[in-house]
Amino acid sequence: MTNPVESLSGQVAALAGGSATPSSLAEHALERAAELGDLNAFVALDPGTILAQAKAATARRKAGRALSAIDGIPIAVKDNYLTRDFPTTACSRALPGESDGVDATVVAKLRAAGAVIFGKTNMHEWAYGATNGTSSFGPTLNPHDKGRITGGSSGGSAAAVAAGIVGAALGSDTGGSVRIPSAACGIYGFKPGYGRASRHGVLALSWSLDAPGPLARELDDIERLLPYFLGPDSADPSTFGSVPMQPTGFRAEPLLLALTGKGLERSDEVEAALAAALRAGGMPVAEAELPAIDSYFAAWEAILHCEATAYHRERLATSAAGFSPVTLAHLKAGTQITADEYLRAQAIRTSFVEMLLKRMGKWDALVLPTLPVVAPLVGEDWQEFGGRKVTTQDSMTWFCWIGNLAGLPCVTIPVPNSGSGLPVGMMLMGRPGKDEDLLAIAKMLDSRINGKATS
Amino acid sequence: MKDDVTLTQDQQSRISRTLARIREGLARFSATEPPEPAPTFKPEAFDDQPR
Repeated sequence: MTNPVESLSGQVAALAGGSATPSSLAEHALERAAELGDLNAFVALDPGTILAQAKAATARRKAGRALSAIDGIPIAVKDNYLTRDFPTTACSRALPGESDGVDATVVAKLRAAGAVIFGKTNMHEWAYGATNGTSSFGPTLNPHDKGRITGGSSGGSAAAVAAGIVGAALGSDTGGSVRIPSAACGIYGFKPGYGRASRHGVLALSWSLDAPGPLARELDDIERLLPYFLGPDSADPSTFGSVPMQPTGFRAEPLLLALTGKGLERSDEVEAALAAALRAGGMPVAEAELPAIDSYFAAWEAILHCEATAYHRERLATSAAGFSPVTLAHLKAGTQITADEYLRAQAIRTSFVEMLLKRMGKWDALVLPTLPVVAPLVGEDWQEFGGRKVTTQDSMTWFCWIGNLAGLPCVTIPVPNSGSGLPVGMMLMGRPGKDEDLLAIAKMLDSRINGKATS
Repeated sequence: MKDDVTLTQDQQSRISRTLARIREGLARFSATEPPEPAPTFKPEAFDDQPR
């Protein structure tokens, strides 16, 4: 049995029209999750807790006291967000897996709006990897082809949405962890610009790169959820000066700048899908190469490992055996990066931002594929594309780290693939603070590429 | 509990490869770097005095 209304926006309409209730949505979602248990999308899913939330929402709606349009909508939550009614483990044995009774800021806002917190989703351990193959609960499988990975680290959230269990889910993104599994699973994912959305209560991987973001079946779903992400939060200093979601005034034909060249290779299949999508988009697209990409990538990687190691310093000293072998190796590498190297990486980061924003000419959105390949097969350690042979892990973050190093808002939208038919994502990166404009641009392209109506 | 984990050869190789990649990339950067690193910290956010 499939959920009768799979997108969040469709569920909102069904609740408003009376063809569904929060309880019926939750019951359908639980049945669907049980049917698709082999995807391993969820790591905590207590029907009693979920149905109690749904029952309360149903009562509110029946009494005409709905808290918001999303009152009663089930939303799944990545297992690195604190949730007061589910344990949080980051899918690592290094964390006890208890609930400390508090919600992350984004979860608290959604709960206050009546959303049904629909369990915790599988993820790559500590979000420290992009395959979802390393998790204390085992790997997550791709709903499009169970012989393939979801990508990660928000792989459980992507699988839950792509499989039609929930209409939307929460993820986090340090080097693409919202966008990567969204693209591999054929759905939409949005990473807010750094400092626009509160990270409070989302277990850190790298505090100057991390951003929480939504995954969903439609851009309209993303638009409905972004107000719960964007805006200042006194508990997260990086959001100082952030503003709540604003109406976009962006109506012009956007200037797109496609990034190409050394270090940005992609498979022929992905390139063909992206080129066809851009043709369908019908917008002028300039091209530019990124110079010194190895140095910029090294800066991202140095910052990532250094900050992750600092965050886990005490845990590393007392319970290192709880980490998986690969995660432990990442953390140990971080202990050997010097303060000088870390600061050099941050300085190179500033150069990178200046280069993108001041020396690349005018642009409204940068364009890349989200991934250089379609979802890899389970157990495939290497990927070959564009004359490159790289690890599957590196292939997943191949393009996405750019958005984190520069702190830009980013979105991935699925595009048709006439090759294998497997999902391919197009990534758009917007200018700092222009999250709303980026969403507007994505909706314009989505309507032309995928025939989606714009609202 | 004390960290007494002994790293395997695979872990040690991963660490060496990661550090080499980072150091080569940072060393190869030839453009002029700004005098200060990226502003990732906003001290004004901690100021409880009205502005």
